[in-house]
Amino acid sequence: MKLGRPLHRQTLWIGLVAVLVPLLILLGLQYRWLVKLDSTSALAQQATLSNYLEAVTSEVQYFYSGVAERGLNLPASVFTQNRLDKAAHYFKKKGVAGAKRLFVVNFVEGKDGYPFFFEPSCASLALPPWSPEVRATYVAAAPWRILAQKGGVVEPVTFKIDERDPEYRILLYPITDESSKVVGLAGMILDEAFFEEVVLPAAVAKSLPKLSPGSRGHLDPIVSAWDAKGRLAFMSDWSAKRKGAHPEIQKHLPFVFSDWTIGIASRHATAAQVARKNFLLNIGLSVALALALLGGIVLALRTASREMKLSEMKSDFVSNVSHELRTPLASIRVFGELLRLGRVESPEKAREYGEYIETESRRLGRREHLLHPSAHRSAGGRGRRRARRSFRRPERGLRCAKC
Amino acid sequence: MRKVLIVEDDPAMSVALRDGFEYEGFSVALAQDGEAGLRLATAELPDLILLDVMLPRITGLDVCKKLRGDGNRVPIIMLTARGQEIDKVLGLKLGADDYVTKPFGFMELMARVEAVLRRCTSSETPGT
Repeated sequence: MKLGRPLHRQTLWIGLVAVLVPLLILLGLQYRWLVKLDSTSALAQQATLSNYLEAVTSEVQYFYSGVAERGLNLPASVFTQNRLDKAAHYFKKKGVAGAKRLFVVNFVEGKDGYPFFFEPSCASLALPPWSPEVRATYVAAAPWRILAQKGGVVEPVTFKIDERDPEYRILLYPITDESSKVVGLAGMILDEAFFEEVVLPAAVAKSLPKLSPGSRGHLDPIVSAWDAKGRLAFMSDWSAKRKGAHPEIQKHLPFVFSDWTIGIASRHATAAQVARKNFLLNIGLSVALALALLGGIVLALRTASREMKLSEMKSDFVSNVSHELRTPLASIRVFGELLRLGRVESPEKAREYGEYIETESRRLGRREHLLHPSAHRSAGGRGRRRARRSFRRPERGLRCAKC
Repeated sequence: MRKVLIVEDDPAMSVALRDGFEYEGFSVALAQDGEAGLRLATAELPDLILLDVMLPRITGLDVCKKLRGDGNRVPIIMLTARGQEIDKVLGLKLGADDYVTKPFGFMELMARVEAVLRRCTSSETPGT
C-alpha cells in the first residue's frame, strides 16, 4: 500500500539529478570557454592597440616622406649649372613644412661640399659662418660627398635621416643626374616643436579611424610621447595625466625622432581589465541564470512532491472513509442476515441485535459528513474544521470517529 | 469441533461474526487487535483465522506476514473495507488464502470459509 511513496521520492531525486548534472557540466564548459576567451580577448585588445600605434608611426613617416618628395626633390640642373638661385626660388615656392632650416650641398666638381643655408627673409641661399648647425649638416653630408667624389651611383634615390646630433635632426635628399650620380643634396633640419605640436597630433587624429569601430568605444586609447630626455612631450588627452594612465604598449619611433618613445593606454581600463570585466560579467550572468533555473526546478519538484503527498493523503483518506462507512454497514448486514435466517433463538438476542443495528446506523449517520465536508460549512465551522482535520490527518480522524 | 479465530476491532462486527460462526458449529476465539491475534493464533491453534486488515497498532497485513514468517500455515481470510486491487493483491501475496470485502453477506463468507477449509484439508491429505 505504501510502496509507491519511496518510488515517487526516488523519481523526484532522479529528476533533480538529471537536471543538475547537465547544468553543472554546462557551467563547467562555459567556465572553460570564458577562461580561454578571457586570455584571447586580452591578447586581441593588445594587438588592436599595437596596430593603432603602428598606424601613428606610419603617419609620421608618411608625413616626412611627403615633405621630402615635394619640397626637396630639386632638379639636377640646380647643381650641374650652378643655379642655386633656382633652388632658393623653389624652396620659397614650395614652403616646406616642419623644417627649422633648409639647405643644399653642391657636389659638382670644384665644390667642397659646404652647405648653403636658405634664408626665407631674402629668399636666397648663402654660405653661413661656421656653427654647430653647419658642422652637423657638414657631417651628415659627408658620406654623400665621398660617394660623389668617387662617382658612385645612387639607385633608387631615397632620402636619409641623420639623428647623430639630437639638436639637429637632418633629413637629406640626394639629387642625382641622368646617370644616377649624386650631384648635390637638398636637406632640412627638422623642427622639433613642429613635430611635437603639429605632426604628432595630426598623426594620432588621422589614425583613430583605423581602429575597428567596435573596439574604439571601450578602448578609447590615449597616446603619449616622450622625448629623448624622458619629458612627456605629447598626450592626446592631457586630462588623463592626472589619472596616471600608464601606457600598456610603448615603443620607439622607427623612422624619425627615433630616440622618442610613443606609448598607448586604454582610457578606462587596460585590455586585461576589460577582458577580466567581460569574463566576470559573463560568468556572473551564467551562474545567475543557472541559479534561477535551479530555483525554478527545485520549486517545480517541491510542488510535484507536495502534489504527490496530497494525492497519497487523498487516497488514504478515501480508504479510511471507506473503512469507516463499510464496517458499520457490514455489521448491519450480517445482523440482518442472521435475523432473516432465523438464527436468533431468544428475544434478548434479537433485542441485542436490534441495539447493534441502531447503534451502527447512528454511527453511519454521524460519519456522513466525511463524504460531504462542504455541507457542514453552513452549519458552522466545527464540522468543516473536523472534516479538514480528518483530511489532513486521516488516522486521527479515524480514531475520533471510532470513539 | 472446528475452531475459528476472529481478529476484529469493531465490537458489533465481532459479535455478529461470533454468533454466526457459533450457530454454524464453530468454536470461536476473539481478538480485538493484531497483538492479541498473533498471541491467540499460537495459543488456540485455530483451524481458520478471519483477519480484519485495519487493526490498531499492528495491521492485519503485518499479522498475516508475521504468521507466515513464523511458519504458521493456518488458513487466513482477510476482511477489509479497502476494495482496491492493489490491497487484495498485497493481502494475497503476503499469504492470505482469500479476501472478503466489507460489506459482505454472512452466507457468502461461510461459503468461502468452507471452500478454504476444504482446500486445506485436501492439500493436507493427498490421495484421498
